[in-house]
Amino acid sequence: MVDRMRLWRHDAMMQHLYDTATFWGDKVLSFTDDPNDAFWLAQVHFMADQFSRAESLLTRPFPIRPDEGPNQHSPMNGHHPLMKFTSFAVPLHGGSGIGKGKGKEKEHTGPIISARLPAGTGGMIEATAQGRSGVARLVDMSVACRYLAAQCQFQQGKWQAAVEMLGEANPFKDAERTRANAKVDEIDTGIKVLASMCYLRGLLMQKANRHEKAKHCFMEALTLDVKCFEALHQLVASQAMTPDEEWEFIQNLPYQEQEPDDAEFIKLMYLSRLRKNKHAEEQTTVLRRLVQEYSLMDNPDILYAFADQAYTQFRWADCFAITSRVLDLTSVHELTLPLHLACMFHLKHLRSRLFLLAHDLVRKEPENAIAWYAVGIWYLTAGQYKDARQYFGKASLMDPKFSPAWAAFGHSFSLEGEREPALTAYATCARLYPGSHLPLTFSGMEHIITSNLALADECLDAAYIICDNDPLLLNEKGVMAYNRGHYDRAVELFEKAIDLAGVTQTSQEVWLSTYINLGTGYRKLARYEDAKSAYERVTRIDPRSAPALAFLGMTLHLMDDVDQAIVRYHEALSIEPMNPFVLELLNMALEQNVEMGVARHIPKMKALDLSDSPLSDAVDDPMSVG
Amino acid sequence: MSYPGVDWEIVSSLKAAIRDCSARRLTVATKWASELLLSIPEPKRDAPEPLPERTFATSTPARSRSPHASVSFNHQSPGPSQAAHESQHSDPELDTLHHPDAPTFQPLPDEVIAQEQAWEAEEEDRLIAAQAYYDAREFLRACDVLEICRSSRARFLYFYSRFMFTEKKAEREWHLSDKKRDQPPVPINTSLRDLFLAVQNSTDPWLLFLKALFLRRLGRREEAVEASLLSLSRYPWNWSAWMLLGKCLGDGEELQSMLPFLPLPPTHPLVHLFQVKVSNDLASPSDNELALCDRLLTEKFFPGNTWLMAQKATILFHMHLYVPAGALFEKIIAKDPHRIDDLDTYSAILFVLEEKVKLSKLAFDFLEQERDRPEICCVIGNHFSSRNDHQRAIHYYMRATQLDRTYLEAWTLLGHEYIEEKNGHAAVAAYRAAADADRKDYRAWYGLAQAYELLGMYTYALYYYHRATALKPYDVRIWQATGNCYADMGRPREAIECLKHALQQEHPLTMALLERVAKLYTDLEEYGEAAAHHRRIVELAQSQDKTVEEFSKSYMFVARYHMYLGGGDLNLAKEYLEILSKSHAEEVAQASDLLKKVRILIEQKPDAQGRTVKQARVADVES
Repeated sequence: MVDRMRLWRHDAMMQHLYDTATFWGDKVLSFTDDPNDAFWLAQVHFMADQFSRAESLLTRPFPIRPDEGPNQHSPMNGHHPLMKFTSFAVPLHGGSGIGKGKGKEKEHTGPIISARLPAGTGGMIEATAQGRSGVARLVDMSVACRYLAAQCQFQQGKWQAAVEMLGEANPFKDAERTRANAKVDEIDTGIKVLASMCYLRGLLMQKANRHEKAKHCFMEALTLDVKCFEALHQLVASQAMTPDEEWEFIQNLPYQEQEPDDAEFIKLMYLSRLRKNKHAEEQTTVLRRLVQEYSLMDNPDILYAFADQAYTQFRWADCFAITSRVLDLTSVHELTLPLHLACMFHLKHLRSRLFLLAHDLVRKEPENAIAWYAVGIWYLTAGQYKDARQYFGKASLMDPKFSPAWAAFGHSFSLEGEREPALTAYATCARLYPGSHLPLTFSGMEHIITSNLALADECLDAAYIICDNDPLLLNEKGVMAYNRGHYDRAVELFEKAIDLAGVTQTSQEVWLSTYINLGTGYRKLARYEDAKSAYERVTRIDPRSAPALAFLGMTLHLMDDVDQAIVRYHEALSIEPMNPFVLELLNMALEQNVEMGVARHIPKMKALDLSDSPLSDAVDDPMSVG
Repeated sequence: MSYPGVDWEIVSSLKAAIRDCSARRLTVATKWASELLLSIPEPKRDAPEPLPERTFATSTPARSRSPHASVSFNHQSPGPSQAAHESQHSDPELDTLHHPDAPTFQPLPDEVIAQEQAWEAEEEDRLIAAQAYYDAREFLRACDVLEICRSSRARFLYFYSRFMFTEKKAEREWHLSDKKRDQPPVPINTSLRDLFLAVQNSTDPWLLFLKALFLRRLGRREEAVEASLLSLSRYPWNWSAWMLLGKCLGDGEELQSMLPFLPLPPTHPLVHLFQVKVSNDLASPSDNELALCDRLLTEKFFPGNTWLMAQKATILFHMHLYVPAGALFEKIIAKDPHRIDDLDTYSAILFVLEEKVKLSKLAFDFLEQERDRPEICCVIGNHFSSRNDHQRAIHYYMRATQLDRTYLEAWTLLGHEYIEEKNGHAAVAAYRAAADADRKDYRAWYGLAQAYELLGMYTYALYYYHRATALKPYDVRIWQATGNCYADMGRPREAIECLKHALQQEHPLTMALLERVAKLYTDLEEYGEAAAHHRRIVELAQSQDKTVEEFSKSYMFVARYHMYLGGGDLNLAKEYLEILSKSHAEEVAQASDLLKKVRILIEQKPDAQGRTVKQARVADVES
C-alpha cells in the first residue's frame, strides 16, 4: 500500500495536483517515517509554493531508526520504478527545475523518470553524529535536503538563514577535488547538486550586495558543472566580468571532461551568449557554426545572439527584424525584449508599435520589470523625461538587477540636462555591473559636458581598462584628448574609433559625430583638406547636419575660401537660424569679404564660376559622366 | 549635322515620350510633349509611306538593327512607335542624333531590354492598377501593388509613388508646426536618403532621373547633374530630366560649359528648347536665344506652339522689350484662352507698362477660371500692386507662395511689396525663400541685398549684391546699388570701383552714376578725378543736347577745380563759366563773379602751360 501511495503521490505531483500529492505523501510519511518520503513531501510543498511548510519539514528533528538508514530503504522501495527516486541524488532535478521557474517541472521531471539511475553518487548521505543517535534533522542528513531547505528560505526572503544553511563557501571543495577522478568515470548526466548549491549561494551573495563573492560562486558553479546554465546567465546578465575575462573563462570551462559528447555544442552556445563588442570575428564564426552544424537557425537564443550582434554594430533595423522574429516565436524572451525596445527607441517610426507593445506587456506581465521599462521607453521617445523616469524607477525597484532600466534612468536625466542625478544613476549602474564599461563611459560623457576633465579622464580610463575596443569609448577619449589640446592623439583616437566601428552603410548615421570630431581634429592640426573631406562625408550622409555645415564653413574660411565659407554658413543657419556662433562667423566672413575688396568680384566674375564651381569638375571629366 | 526641321524621327520619339511619361505619371513632361506634338503640322505627324524601319535604316546605315525593333506592342500608333513599353532602350533612330564625341552614350544591352519587356508584359495588370492608385493619390497602395514587380517601369512608379507620399507627409508634418517658432523654413523630407540609396545603382534612364532628383534634393548638385545627363543619354525625350538638369545649373557660365556635354548634338531641337528655357530661368537670355526661339517657331519645327511663344515673350520681357512681349502674350491668349502657365510674366509686363486696365481685366478674367493656381494669385497680386494696394497684394502673393512653395516670382514680388511697406525683415524672409527656391535668379539676390541694406546690415547686403552681379555681371542697377552700399559703409574707393564698372556701358543712369563718382572723389579730396568725371558729365550733356541748367553744378565744379584746386586749365574754366553765365541756372551770379576772377587769374599767370595758344584765345575772347 505504501508503494501504491508513493505512486499516487508522484502522479499527483506530475499532474500538479499538489494538495493530492500532499495528502498521500503525508500518509506515506506517517506510515514509513522514511527520510525519502519526507523529502518528497517537502518537495511537494515547495512546488505548491508552501515554502515555510517545506522548510519546517526539512528542519524539524526527524527520527531515524538506527536499523533503517535511508540507504536501506532503497532496495525496499526499489521494486517500483518510481521508487528508484528514493536516492537523494534524484530530487535535485526537481530543485533545479524550480529555479528555472514554475511551470517547467514537467519537462524537467520527464527525463528523470526515464533516465534516472538509483543511488546517484551526488546524493551521498552525510549523516551526522546527531543522526546516528536516533534523531536528526533532514537537512543534516543530505545535501539535497539542505539545498531544498535553502531554496525554501531563499524563496521566503530569509537570505541570511539561507546563507547559513548553505555555508559561506562550498564546504565540499576539498572533498570534491579528491573525488573528482573517481567521478569522471561514473555515468551521471544530471546536474550536480553541488553546482546548484554554488549557484544558489551566488544568488544569495548578490542579494547581500556582495557582487565579487557572487561572481566567484557562479564561476564555481559553472566549473563544477558546465551544464548549470543559470550560473552563466547570471554571470552574463550581471556583467560581473569584463568582456575579456568572460571570454577567457567561458572558453576554458571543463566541457570536455564533464560532457565529452556535447562539449563543443555547449561551448558554442555559451560563447554565443557573451557580449558582442569584443571578439567580433570569433562570435561570427561561433554563430555560423551553430547555424550550420546544429541547424539552429530559428532558435530564439541563436536569433538573440544575431540580434545582439546587429545591435552592437548599430544596425538597428536589422536588429529589429531579428528581435521581431524572436518575439514571434516566443511571446516573451527576457533577453530579447530590451534589445527590441532599444531598437524601437532608435527607429522613430515604430513609436506607435512601441506604445502597443508597452501596453501589451503591462497587461500581460505587470509583475515583470521589463513591462514598465517599455512604458518608460515610450515616454522617453515622447520627450517626457519626467514620466519616463517614473517608470524606469518603477522597473528598477521591481528588479534592482535590471540594468537597462538604470541606464535609461540615467539617460533620462542626461537628456534633460540634469547632470548630477544622471551621474548618480550611472554610478549605481556601474556598481551593479562592474564588468560593463558602458556606465563608466556614460559618466565620463557627463563629466565632459560639465567640464570636469579630471573626473572624465578617470571614468573613461577605467572604462577603457574594462573594454578597449568600443568605438564609442574611443570617441569619448578622443574628445578628452581634444579638450586637453592633444590634437594628434585625438585624431588618432577618432580614426581608430571609426576603424573599429567598421562603419557599414546602415550604421553610418551613428558615427556622424565621430566624423565631425575627426574633422575638427584635423582642422586643429591644420590638415584642412582632410577636415573638409571628413565634414563632407557627414553632409553626404545627413545633408541637414548644421554643425557639419558650420564646421565645413569654418574650414573653408580657414582655407581662405571666403565665398564658399559664406555659402556653408548660410546653409548651417538655414537649418539652425539662431546659432550665435555661426552668426558671428558669418559676420566675420562677410566683413572679410568686404575687406577683400570689390576688385575680386569684378575681374573674377567669369573665372569664379569656372574654377570654384565643383560642377565644372564633373563636366571636365567626361568619364565621370559616362 | 543640323536639323532642317521636324522629321519622322522626332515625331515618333515625341509620341513615344508622351506614352512613356504618361505611363510613369510625369504629368508636366507629358503635357509639354503633347503640346509640342500637336504643334507639328498635321501631315508630318503621320507615318511616312515607306515602312518606317527602312527610313531609319537609311539614316543609320552603319548600325545593325536592334532586335527589339521587331517587337512591337502596336496597340497604339503604328510603326516604330513600339517604344511605348521599352522606354529604357534607346530608340535606334535616336542613336544617329548623338554627337560622335558625346562621351555619355551607353545603350542598355539588348538582353536587358528584352528582359524588361518580358517583365513589363508580365506585370501589365499590376502596372495599370498602380497607375490608377497613383491617379487617385493613394500612393502607398500603388507601392503595395508594385512591391513585387521587377520591371524598371514598375520600379520607377514604385519609387515615384513613395517619393510623392513622403513629400506629402513632409508637407503635412510641416504644416503641423504652422505659426510656431520652431517651424523650419521648408518641409523636411527625411526619407530622401533611403530613396536615393534604393535607386543609386540603377541603369534605367527613368530610375536615373529619379536618382538625379533625389540627389538634387539632398544638395548633391554635381552628382545630380551627372545622373541626369546619364538619364538623358539613354532617353533624351524626358523633359522632366531636362528641367531637372536646368535646375541644377547655377548660372549662364555653367549652362555654356554644359552644352558640349549634352548627349545630343548642339543643333538638336531638344538642346535648343533646353537652352531657351534655362536662359529664361537665368533671366539673362540673349539675342541668340531669341533667334533659336524664332527658328523653333517656324513652320519646319513647332509653329504656333504656345509654350515656345511664351518662352519667346519671356525672352523679350527679360530684354526689356515689353511692348512686343505683351503683344505676343495677347496672341497666346487668343490662341489658347485657358492657358494659365506664364500668365504671371504677362501680368508683370502689363505692370511695367502701367497698363492698369488690361491688368485688371486679365486678373478678373482668369479669376473666374481658376482661383487656386499660383500664377493667377500672382496676377491678382500684380493688379493690386499696380494700384498701390500693397496689403492686398501681399495677401495674394502669400497665397501664391502657399500654393507653390518653390514659386520664385511670387516670393520675389512678395519681397518687393514688403520693401514698399518698409518691412525689411519680412522682405528678407521672402527674398530668401526665393533664393532658396532657385539660386540662379539674380532678382532674388538683388532684392535680398536691398532688404539687408534697408536694415542697415551692409556686409550682408554687399555679399548678396555680389551674388547678384555674379549672375548678371552687366546690370548697371546692381552695380550702382553695390557702389552706393559701399559708399554708405564709408568705403568710397570700393564704391568708385563698382560705379566705374557700371559706367562701362551706356545707360540712362550714366549721368547719375558719373555724378555719384565725382561726388565720392570730391569727398576723398581727389579733385582731379572728380573734375574729370564732372567734365565727362558736361561732355555727355553737350553731346546729348541737354540743357546747361541741369548740369550747372558740374560746370561749376570743373571751373572751380581749374581755378583753385590745382587743375590749372584756366581757359577751360573760363569757357565753362561763360557758358554758365549765359544760362538760366541758379549759379549765374556766382558764375559771372568767378568769370571775372578767372580772367584776372589768366592775366596774372601768363606762363601757364600752353600759354601762347591760350593767350591767343584769351585775346580772341576779349576782343
